[in-house]
Amino acid sequence: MSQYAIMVDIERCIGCRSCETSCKVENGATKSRNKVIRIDPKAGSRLSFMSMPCMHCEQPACRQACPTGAIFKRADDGVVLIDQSKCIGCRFCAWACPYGAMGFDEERHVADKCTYCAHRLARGEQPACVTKCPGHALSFGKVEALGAQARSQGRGMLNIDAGTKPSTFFLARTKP
Amino acid sequence: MNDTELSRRTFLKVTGATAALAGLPVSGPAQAVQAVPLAGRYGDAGAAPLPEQVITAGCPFCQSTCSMKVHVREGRIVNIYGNPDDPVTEGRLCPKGQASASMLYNKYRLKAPMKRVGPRGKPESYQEISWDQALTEIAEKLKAVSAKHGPEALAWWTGGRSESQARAGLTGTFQKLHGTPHREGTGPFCNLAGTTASNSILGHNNPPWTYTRDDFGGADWYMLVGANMAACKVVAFGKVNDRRVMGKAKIIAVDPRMSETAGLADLWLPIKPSTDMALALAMMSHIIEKDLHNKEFIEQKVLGFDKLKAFLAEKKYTPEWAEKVTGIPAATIKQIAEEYARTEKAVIMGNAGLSHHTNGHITHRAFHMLAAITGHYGKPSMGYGCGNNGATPMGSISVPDDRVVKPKRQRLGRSPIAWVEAMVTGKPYPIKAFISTSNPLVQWGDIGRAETALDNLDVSVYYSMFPSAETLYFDYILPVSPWAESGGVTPVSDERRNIFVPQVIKPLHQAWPERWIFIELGKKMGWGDVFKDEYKDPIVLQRVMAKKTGFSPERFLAKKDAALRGPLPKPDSPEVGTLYTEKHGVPGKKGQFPRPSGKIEIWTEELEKMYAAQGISPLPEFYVDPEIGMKDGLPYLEYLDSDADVGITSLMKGIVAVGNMRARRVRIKYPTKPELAEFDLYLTTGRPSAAHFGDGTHWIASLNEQSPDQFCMIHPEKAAKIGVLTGDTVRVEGLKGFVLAKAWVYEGIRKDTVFVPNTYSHRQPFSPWKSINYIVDKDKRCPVSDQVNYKALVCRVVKA
Repeated sequence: MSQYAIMVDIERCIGCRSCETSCKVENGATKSRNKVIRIDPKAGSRLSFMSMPCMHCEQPACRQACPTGAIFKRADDGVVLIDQSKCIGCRFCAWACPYGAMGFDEERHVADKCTYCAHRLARGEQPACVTKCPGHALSFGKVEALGAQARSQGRGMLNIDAGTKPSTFFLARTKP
Repeated sequence: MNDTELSRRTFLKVTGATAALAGLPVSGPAQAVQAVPLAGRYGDAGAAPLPEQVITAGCPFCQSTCSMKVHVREGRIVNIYGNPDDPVTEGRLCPKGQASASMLYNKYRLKAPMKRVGPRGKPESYQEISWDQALTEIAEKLKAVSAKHGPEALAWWTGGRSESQARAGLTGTFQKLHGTPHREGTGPFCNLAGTTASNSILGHNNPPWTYTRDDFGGADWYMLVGANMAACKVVAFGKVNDRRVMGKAKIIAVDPRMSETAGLADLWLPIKPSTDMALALAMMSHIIEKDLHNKEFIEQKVLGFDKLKAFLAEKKYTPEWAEKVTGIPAATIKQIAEEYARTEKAVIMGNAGLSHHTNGHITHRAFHMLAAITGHYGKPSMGYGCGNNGATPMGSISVPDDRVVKPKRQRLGRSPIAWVEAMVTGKPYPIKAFISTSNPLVQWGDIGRAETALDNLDVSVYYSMFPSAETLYFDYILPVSPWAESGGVTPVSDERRNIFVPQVIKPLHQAWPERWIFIELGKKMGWGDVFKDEYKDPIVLQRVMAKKTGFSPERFLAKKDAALRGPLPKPDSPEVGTLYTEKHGVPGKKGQFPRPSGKIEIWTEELEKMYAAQGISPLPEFYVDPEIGMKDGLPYLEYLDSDADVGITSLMKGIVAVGNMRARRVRIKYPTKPELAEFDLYLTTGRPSAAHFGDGTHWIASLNEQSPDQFCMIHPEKAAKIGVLTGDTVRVEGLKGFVLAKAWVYEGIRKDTVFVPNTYSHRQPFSPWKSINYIVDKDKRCPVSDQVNYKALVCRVVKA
């Protein structure tokens, strides 16, 4: 398997929340499946933003928590998806996800989250948020290639692993 | 928080807290995980279906004017993407462009014409009427006002960001046939200070650059002054920041608060509101003292340098002086001045943060002078420019000479807000009819006075999209079909681009495009021979309007981004990138710099006469906004004429004057002692976030939720003193009253300053906050551009 990933560059994120809107428009959702977090300055640090899609973990806590086996990780590209026909709406997955990435469709009473725009991947396209990002802050590809690219540019990565080995990863700011 | 030390624990806390606040991202379909194509219509849960048709169009919102790919299926817009063939956006899009379909398919839209039949301020006072009745009655009343009070008694505020053929073209045709001098766009509330400054010194309104990587996007050094580009020029800033992260550029942000832009800048200079001019003056003084000015460039291309040099020395506008005034250390000012003078590819950009002041015009002039004396004009990736100044002539419908009615009386000031007193008091002569779009009761200062003005009119007409505050006060309310329902030409970008928009879907409800409305109204006025029915087709109209220019529909549609960059003075004029180069200057105008001398004019005798008539000088004499000057004992303007006076006639032809126009006389007052001690804070205002653009975006749920509440950004030390926490409701009290806002305790703002965003209004469905502009003083305006001071007031903040 070769894992897909989104690389989020916090130094490039300009806080416009285009990714939230593109997710809503692309997925017909009233609430975005990703969320931009605003980190206000503290003790001399600078204002930062980070776009938070699903982490598509190597060991998804949501999958482990799901009592019906509705959540699965695709073998060929590592994308974590929900078979919503099997979902009973118990929300154990949302409790289990350490990144707050699991959402809920109130109307249909099923768990819901970022799919890396799986329907677009199937057409050979990239996730909607990545293609539209005005800051060039989101990149999509195979996790090894993206990681190599970041390392070659000497960029540091945030360690956000809560024991699930997330695939989505974040490039730290270059200066405090 | 230090980002490099962002620990897992902190990270999880942050994400957890946000997720809890947001109620977690929710909703979405089972189909989304299946392979495509998907049936499901947009609006139902489900991934956007594949389009049957992809149409190239331009975004209707801000001054980036991005080219977009509009996906259509079964007669409905189902998705919007950026256009990869657009060299400005490179296929990127901000939230607004993507949400422009939600603007059309919006349950709040005005659906039918309405007439006021009861007292103002009440929804039940309005009843639906037919278009024919509405336009017949409006035309009769406009004719009656002209007959009784003269054609000058009509005022028309055409707004700024609606479809261009109708807004800029047809309203001009109407004006010529009607004879009122009172037609104006949104410039006096936007960046007319920048337009007039550029006209006065370079001889033309446009900034020098284009937002492409070989021009604006390719500099080594940027200083953004009063320009929160990350929220206001989203896609253009994304590229500039991209360049910074690649290690190829330095960004300096000058702003009283750490804006989204300042958070990414290499250097944030939290300047005191209203004092930006002092920064430019001190940078120039230091550059001249260190002999870093570009003597060869000055010799060949600049007039008035010696006058400027002597003036700066006489006034002692040194970095040490500027430190006291601005709060920026003298050493920092010296350092950035030297960097700027020594860096060829260096850009300084100003925006509304400079324009929304009583010193807006002269501040922009000072930054132009800074660029001029260091030789920063003539090549790509350099120069000073102000945003929102991209307009170029696109052509018009010709009116036979014998049908043009010339106004007999003086135009009462450049800003529509200067017309309010004529509406209320009838002096110096009455304005009795008012046609408006945009949001005078959100956007204008001193909104209560504007509400009073409407009471004294014989007829008022409002045309727009949403039931905003205005729809409870005007006599006639007309629903407009914008953008993809209308077709036509987008408003212009900062860097002179317009995009042709085909009519993508049919107008919804009973709404009509502005083009249709103005043609029908023109016919009712008896001008059917000029306002022809065939012009309701945007392609036919464009062909006629652009007969003498290069903006033909064929040229637009031949481009992959459907965009044309002006000026295109002739049908075959080529598109030009950077302006003010030796090769191009400005297409259609004489010289590299189209001032009468062909040079950059810092000072000339002619300019001296123009400015002196109003009590000011073309040389940059420092003053601040009145409330700041009173509080701090700094120089500020005293106004010798009121809006109800006859006044003098502006001499500033080609700079700001539109025909015979009244100008206000002023005097710079040097106060002897500080006043207003009861107000301990400065108040500044601006864009809430990238999601918003005026009142309209607050009616779109997906945009509004990105910045849902009017907030008051306040420093923790100040907040602690008044016992306020983030989320508490506070009263922001100024000289003209108070408004409420939610406190946002924020370390990234000057301790003496609070920031409250504009664009909120008490009639909005999700965010009903009384606009901050209620406490803006409409009479304190820039003597040249007539712009209102929105951005430097005094206030105190208390817990509500």
